[in-house]
Amino acid sequence: MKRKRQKSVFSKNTNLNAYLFLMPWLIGFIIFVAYPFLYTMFLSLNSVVKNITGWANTYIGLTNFEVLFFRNTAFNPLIIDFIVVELTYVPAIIILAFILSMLLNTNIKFRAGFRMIYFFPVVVLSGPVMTQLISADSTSTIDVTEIIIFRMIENYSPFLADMLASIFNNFTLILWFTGIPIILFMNGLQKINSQMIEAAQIDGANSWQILWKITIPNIKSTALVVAIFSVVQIAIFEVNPIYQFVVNTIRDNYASGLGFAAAVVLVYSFIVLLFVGIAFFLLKERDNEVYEESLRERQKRNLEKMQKMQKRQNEETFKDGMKRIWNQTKTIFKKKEVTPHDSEA
Amino acid sequence: MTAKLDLKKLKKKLMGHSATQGWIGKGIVYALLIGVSYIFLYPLLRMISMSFLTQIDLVNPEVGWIPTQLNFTNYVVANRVLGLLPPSLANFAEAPIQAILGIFRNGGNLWKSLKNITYLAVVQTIIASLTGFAFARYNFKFKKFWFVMVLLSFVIPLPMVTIPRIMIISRLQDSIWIPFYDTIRGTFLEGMLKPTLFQTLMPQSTFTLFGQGINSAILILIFYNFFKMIPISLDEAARIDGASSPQVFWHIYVKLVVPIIITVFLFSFVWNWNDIYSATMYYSANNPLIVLRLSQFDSQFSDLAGAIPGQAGEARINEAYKMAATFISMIPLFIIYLVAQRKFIEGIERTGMTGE
Repeated sequence: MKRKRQKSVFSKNTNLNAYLFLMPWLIGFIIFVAYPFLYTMFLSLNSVVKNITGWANTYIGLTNFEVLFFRNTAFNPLIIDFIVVELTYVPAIIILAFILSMLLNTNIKFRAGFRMIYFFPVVVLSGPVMTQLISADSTSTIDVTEIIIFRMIENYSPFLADMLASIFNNFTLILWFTGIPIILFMNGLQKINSQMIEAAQIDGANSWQILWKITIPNIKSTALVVAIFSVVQIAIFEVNPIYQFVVNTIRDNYASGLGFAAAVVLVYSFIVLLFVGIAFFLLKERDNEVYEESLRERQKRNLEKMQKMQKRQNEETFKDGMKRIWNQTKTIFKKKEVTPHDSEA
Repeated sequence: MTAKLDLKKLKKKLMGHSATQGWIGKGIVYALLIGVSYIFLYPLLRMISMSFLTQIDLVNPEVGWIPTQLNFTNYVVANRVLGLLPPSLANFAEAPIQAILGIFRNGGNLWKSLKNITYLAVVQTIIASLTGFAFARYNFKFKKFWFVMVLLSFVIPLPMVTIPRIMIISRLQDSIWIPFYDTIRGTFLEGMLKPTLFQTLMPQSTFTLFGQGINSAILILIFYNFFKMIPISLDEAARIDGASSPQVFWHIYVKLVVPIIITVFLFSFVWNWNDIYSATMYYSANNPLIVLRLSQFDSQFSDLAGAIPGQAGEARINEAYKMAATFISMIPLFIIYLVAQRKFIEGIERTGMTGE
């Protein structure tokens, strides 16, 4: 009796209670995320004009996108710049954060101090602060254009030199994005099973091999989180080229051009989500699954092989037996038949 | 014989067993770490140094890092442009009582933005804890679906949802806010300009109240992982004794996770403080938020040029003023970080993002 009552306490109203706790977030998600997400898509196909009662939408098809891509002169170069920034910054952030976390993960003193310095930018990093620092020219530590190697590269190919210069000029900015990634990577590195590394060492692997064969495959899922985080963070950061355009488009077209603004936002968001998708596709962890599958498959294959062998053996023994019997009967028949044939001949 | 042994020992000490154990390896690691720390801190050091330079020092090629004389005029100017301290304090010498009374009338942008952001952070922390609790301790229908939605809400770029949000707020303003305002103040404020919702903290606090503040998903994840670590037997024991769900949540979970609540609050505070996007979109006019003020520094400066001490009408902006303003805008975050830097790092480790 008592037991039954206990059970009822747990099962009763769990759904209701859970949804009560979830309620604020759920309402917010539906009203302020899900509905806006879909409505922005809808708006991008409309001409939106503000009147006394609110906004009036009229369907105009893909005209907004046509205006955006073919008649607006500012958008195309900005979106290309944005793609280039994402493509160069995100890998740079991942690689730098990984290297720094590897360095921090060796047994050094003052680890907490270094970690504190590297994490500090996370707290103060904001668009205006960065803009002011850049405008005062206090972010470029090294002037690469003075170095002779750089001049040689510039003579060889100005485009490559431009790219290098942009990376070095924004080196501090890239470093400042690595605060959270470093912590995530350090956490990921500490979770790697040390027995695996010891086993590899006993088998004679050097640290280079351990890095490529054990550390990097194990850190892949962390790299995925870091990549997605960085893509999203850079997308909403004031220093990236398209940010100001998106913000201004929404604010300037408040009265009559929100459809156009929705189209801008849609293209921009599409690119951000595309990068998230690419990161997901490249860094998604499949190794474990594949390994498990192959193990199971191998067992299955072995079993089938053994069964086949047994079958064949059985068949062979059966065949052998039959053959033997056949031969024996043959010989018997031969003995019986041979004599009359011979006699006939 | 001994020389050979010593050589071996020396080699072992220098090179070590693996790449990072010997003296050489360690030396390289330290050199790299210190070099990178320098690059990390260079902008900040440069900023602090520049914020003390006078106009003459700025153009003097001999002055690199250390100013020729200690002066705080840059900070005075930055304070004036950003409107940090209560404006009435400027005439403290002439009318001290009025100056002190003025503090209560207009507390200055620093006080106002601290107040606003604290409010947002408190609300965000509470909602994140409720949501995290629901995900960590209940098995309800569509749980997986909603959890994926939490993660998705982090990935969706904010501009994607901005336009309909503006429309919703504007509609609320027409249907609720203005009639409401009229009934309260209408009688004696007839004909005066009514503050629209976009001149208040209302839009942002509404989003935060419904769990859609800045980076809410990460805060929910921190709570989710932490609530999951608490043994469920505590929960069961309380329920057998007859506690209801809210009681269990308050007496068992919340009281056990006070450290993590502080962590989440700090993160929320910092992110809201730096959330320039929401500030420009939903609260651009009269927003006291200091980071937003900093982004408008140039135009504010030229507006106030006549009133700035030592400038006498010549509105010449220079880097030193900007750097002083930037430094001031960082100071609250700076203090928070110095006091609670461990909490920040633990918070990120606790998201469990690496484990899943």
